[in-house]
Amino acid sequence: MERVEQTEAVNDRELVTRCQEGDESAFDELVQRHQQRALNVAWQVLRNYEDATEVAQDAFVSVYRHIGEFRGDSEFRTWLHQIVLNLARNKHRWWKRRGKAATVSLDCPLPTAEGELARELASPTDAPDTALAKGEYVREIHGAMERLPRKFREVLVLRNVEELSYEEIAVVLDCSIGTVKSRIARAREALRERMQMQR
Amino acid sequence: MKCDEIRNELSAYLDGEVAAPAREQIDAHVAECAGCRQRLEELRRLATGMAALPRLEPTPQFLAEVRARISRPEGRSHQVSWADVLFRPVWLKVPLEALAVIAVAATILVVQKPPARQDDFAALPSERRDESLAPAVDLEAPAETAAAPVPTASPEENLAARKIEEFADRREAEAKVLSEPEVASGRLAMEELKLAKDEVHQLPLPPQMAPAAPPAAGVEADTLTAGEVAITLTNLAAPAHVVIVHAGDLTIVRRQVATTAVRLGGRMLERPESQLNEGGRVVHTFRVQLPADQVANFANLMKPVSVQTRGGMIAPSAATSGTARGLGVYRSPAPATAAAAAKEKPALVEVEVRVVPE
Repeated sequence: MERVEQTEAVNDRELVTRCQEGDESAFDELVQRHQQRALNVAWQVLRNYEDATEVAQDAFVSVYRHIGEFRGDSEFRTWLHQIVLNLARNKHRWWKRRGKAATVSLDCPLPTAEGELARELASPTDAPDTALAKGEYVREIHGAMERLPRKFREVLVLRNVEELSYEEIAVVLDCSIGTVKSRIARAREALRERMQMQR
Repeated sequence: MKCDEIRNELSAYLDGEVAAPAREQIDAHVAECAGCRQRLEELRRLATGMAALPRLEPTPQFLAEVRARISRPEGRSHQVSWADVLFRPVWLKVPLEALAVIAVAATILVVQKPPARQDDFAALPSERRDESLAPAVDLEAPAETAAAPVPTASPEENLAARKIEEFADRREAEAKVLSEPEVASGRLAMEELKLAKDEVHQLPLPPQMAPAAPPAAGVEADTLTAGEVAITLTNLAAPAHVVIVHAGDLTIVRRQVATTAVRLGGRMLERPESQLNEGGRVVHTFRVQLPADQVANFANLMKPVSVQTRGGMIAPSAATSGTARGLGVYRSPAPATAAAAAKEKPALVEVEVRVVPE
């Protein structure tokens, strides 16, 4: 896993360099490589498919326009996460000002260009009863996360969904590693309490 | 380590972010403590469940849509409407804007407050009347206490209270533009207003205001001699009169002019103008509006030392004796009856007062 990430980082650096030199195809490759990551981070924060898509696309537009300013102090995906989170926060505030909850139920099918996207919450390798129980549990987690404060949701997505290290999360959130550590611990505790309340 | 300390570290322990010595302590504690072991299992299950959260697949058009967005002019993803600018966030902007509207409305109401009218004053209950604000001219006083022909025209034109209000407004405006330091201050202007009120209230009716005979035929203008300042009263072909005052203190003269004009049912018209005369001295000019039959009384109340007219100098004793007869006092013909006097309003004429420094 770590080797894959290292290879991905090396390739990202090459693509960024080519992109900075004006290679349009390098930018396209960067988009294709990271579009799912950007879309899912935005979706976990916003819980709205259209808004998440818009935020993810705007994030790549921002990457395109500011790629010349990227100095490579951090990994490209860390920089991308920063951009996505900032745009998602702006969108979140925009909706909040209008008193609208930009959320979607887990039961609601997701619209895509190819029709409604099926949700596969359980692994196909699980036995049916285990898969059912696991699917129910993940559904509970999904619902409980929706009621978490945005800061807690962000840090849990970065750690447990995107699997970023504490150091990378500290760069993305622009805070210390100690803050990341305590925020993750408090977020997990809050999630655990909310799930107990659901039962 | 105690259970509380261990549980605080369990999250980082689960992520492999605890250094070796602490990690070994946690290993040992969890092996022995069922409660902490159960908490660790819950956290591990949560982490597994979060990793299994559904992931979205971007649409095939994702890249094309990014390219389309890049080709658009740079701007905000949301168009900002006028409602956004004016009202959002609602919890902040709406209360602030409401307060601003109330403040502006209150300011307009205060600024445009109409001057007090005598009949308004009279309408107040007696216990609420402030006698210090009452008009100086007592219209109901017996004739013997008002020796001078105090204007008897309609009350609306002779309300001293109203004139004082106007005078205050004019003085505040003057204080902003005049160069004299003593009148440039609004505070001093208001003190002056207070003095003016007192003066109007306390000013005794002078003997010069006794009814005067019509001017002698052929006399165009007259000289008065009395008091401390020199006044030239000129009857021009135009309806305006010119009074020239030689004085050292502009502020005192201005106050005297304003007070006297109000006392006689007139008012100051314009802010003073200042200009250099041929001798290089500053001449200040006021304009007052007076009932036609009060022009001479106005000159008398200014306590003139002498008045120069086109008719030449007239003996000082004529003024100091308290008679204005034969001095070219301009007054309307006496009304035939008291009823006619009550109905007839004396015409208002403009008088220019020029103050020449001594």
